Amino acid sequence: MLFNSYGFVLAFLPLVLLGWWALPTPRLRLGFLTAASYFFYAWWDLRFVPLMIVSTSADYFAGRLIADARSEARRKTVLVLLLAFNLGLLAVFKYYDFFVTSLDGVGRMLGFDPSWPLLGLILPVGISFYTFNSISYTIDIYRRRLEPARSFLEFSTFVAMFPHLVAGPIVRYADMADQFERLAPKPRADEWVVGLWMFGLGMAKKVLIADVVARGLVDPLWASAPALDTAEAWIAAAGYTVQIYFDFSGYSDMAVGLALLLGFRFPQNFDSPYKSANIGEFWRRWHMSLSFWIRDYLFIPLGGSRGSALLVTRNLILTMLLGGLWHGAGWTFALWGLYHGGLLAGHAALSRRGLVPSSRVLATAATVLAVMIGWVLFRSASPGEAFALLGTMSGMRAGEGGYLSMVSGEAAITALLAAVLVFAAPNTWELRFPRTRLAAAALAALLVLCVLRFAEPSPFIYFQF
Amino acid sequence: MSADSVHRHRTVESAPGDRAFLATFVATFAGLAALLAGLVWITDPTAAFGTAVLPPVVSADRDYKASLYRDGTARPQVVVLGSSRVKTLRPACIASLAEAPAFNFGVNAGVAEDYLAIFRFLRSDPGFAVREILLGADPEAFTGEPGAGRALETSRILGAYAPRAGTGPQASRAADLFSLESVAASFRSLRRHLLPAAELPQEAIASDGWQTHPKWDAEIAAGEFIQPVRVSESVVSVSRRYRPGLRLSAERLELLEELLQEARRAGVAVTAFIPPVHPDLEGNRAAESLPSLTADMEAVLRDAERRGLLRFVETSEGAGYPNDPGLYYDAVHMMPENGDRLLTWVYRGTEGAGCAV
Repeated sequence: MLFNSYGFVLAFLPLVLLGWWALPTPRLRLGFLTAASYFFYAWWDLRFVPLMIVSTSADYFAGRLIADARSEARRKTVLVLLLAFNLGLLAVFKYYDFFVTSLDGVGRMLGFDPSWPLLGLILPVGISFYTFNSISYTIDIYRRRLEPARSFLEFSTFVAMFPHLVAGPIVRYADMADQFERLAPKPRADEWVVGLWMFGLGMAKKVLIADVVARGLVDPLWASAPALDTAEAWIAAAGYTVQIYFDFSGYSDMAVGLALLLGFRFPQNFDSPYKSANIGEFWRRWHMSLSFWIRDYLFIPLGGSRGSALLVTRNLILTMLLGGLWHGAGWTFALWGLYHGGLLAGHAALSRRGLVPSSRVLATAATVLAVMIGWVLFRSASPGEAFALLGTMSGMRAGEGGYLSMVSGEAAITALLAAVLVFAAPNTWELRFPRTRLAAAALAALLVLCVLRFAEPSPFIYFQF
Repeated sequence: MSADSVHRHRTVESAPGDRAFLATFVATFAGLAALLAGLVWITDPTAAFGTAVLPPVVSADRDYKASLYRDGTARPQVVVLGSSRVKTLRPACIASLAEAPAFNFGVNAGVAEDYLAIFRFLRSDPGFAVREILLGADPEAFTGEPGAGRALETSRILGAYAPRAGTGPQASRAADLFSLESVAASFRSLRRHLLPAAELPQEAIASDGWQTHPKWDAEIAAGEFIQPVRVSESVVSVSRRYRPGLRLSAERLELLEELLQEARRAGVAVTAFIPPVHPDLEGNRAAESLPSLTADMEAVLRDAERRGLLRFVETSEGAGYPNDPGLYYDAVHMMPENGDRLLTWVYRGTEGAGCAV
């Protein structure tokens, strides 16, 4: 089920809110929320609900085993087994076919045809998100930074909670444990006001900006990617830069807003990333819950920023490569991760030599440009398409062009206005939301306008991960 | 990747007006949604609910034409099937050329499922007298995911004849009630009802199924119809449909085969042509798959002709068809005069006399 669907806004959400706040005991409420979240997930594909339940059970019981273990060796063994299980799930469902296809390709280059069998499995929506939620839980218990969940029900609710289930933010149990212990007995008007604003503005970012730019500008141009001329290629890349920000940050705002309507607080996931003055700052502002996750569970365990410049560079590139592959099993994502690892290492090297621009405007422009080039790798269907488009953008090759007529006026104007908003307006976390009746009516009208655009289904970009 | 970043949660401060804000939000959202849904329900612009207190402006042409056909006194012997691209072909012109009464059963956004459903509807008529189907085989009608479209599924008369009913995309009732298109159409319906003199209707359908465009025709008569602008605007929008890689659908071609086989069994001759489009669309690079789709469609029709299932009439410029770019309303819809030229070409070739309408 999509947040931007009739079923969700007009039926599922009102019913869940009604049930959640009407039920008398915490156990009943958590049970209801978990069941509702499984229903939300099953709406997409019922077959993968058992997979999530198995994964949740394994993580919960492994957490308990680690906490109760008397020896360090036993703690480590359980952790390793659990990591193998979680990463194994990802490997089977997400990466197996990619690696087999790649190995086949290498084999053919070397003159033999291994023809490994492909599994052809459907990727369960949100598996990367809920697996990372669970992994951080187990590792935090192993590191003795977290007590195990008080009950299986609380942990199941944490994993399945529909606001973050399929596309984040990646929530850590450490952030939620206290909230589960102290469930608000009654809804708070102030949380609802902010929750509705976050949900409404997030929906508008997705439906009125990201989707309009996608349908009227990005998709039609990208469909003819190899044939675009230089200007068209830059417009396509810039359009996608706008689209992905409004799509994903819109989803995150909605998730935070929905959590507030249920009385929960989720972490911030976006902080005006395109205002960043360098690539490190960008990653502290873009998909923050993932950035902090890979920092805490990958980059720092690898050695982080300690050691020689060479070691730090290795850590950065390896971390970002894995971060890229987390997004998708494909060479474009691997290249995107490597590219960002290279950017981070390059920026660190330039900083050490005092070679970064002192002007914030210049530095921000350079950062956005670098990120935009990265999005070409991210959006392209294949490395070949990405390199063709990048070649066109650099002027090294030129398509025949003539595709600007495919860009709708509505999309072009929306993209321009959205770009102005990105650089000149405060983000949804910085806004102080007006509380007047007029503002309430305007927000309601905005949400109705969004609902009127639900007729054409439009999944979020990050649902595929 | 510094370690000084911390998870931040949204600050929530309470304010005195919070409860009033929530009450206003809920009332406005529910009120607006109910108002718009009520308006759509009452005006029923897409004939989805059967209320239609006001005449719909987005013509529910499937049901309307089926009613016209059923209520008509003379049983037509020639029936035009196709999408909106053939709706302006005059049955009177056909009657003059074929010397038999004709009916235009072209429908908006018609696809293979529609053609078969319409033919089966015609066959179910006890007074069935059709001896020729004039099929405007628009390649777009044979692309995409198979399945009865929303308009056919909701058609009270033709819906019963839809092939593989229920296998197509099940558009939701919610989309009929809460979509920008429905709301905009309802407002147009309301406006026309309240201000009948405000504007001429965009579409009108005669008793023989012939569609005219009274508003555009009046503009043409007054010299106010700027055809090049309208054509170039629609070339842009129509080109987007012909995305790269778009191909004919095997499932929809099977439905075409079913139609042709059923027509043969019923002793009905089929004459097929690909409805011509404005040359600017053909020449627009953005309509990337149009040439290949047209070529593939032509190959399918030629193959059917070889098997004796139809007579194919080529309508490309290369074949000598005298397409007149000045006689188009937009990129794909012909004016009736151009339709007459097409019909003359289909029945008589270049040398024959035109129809006498």
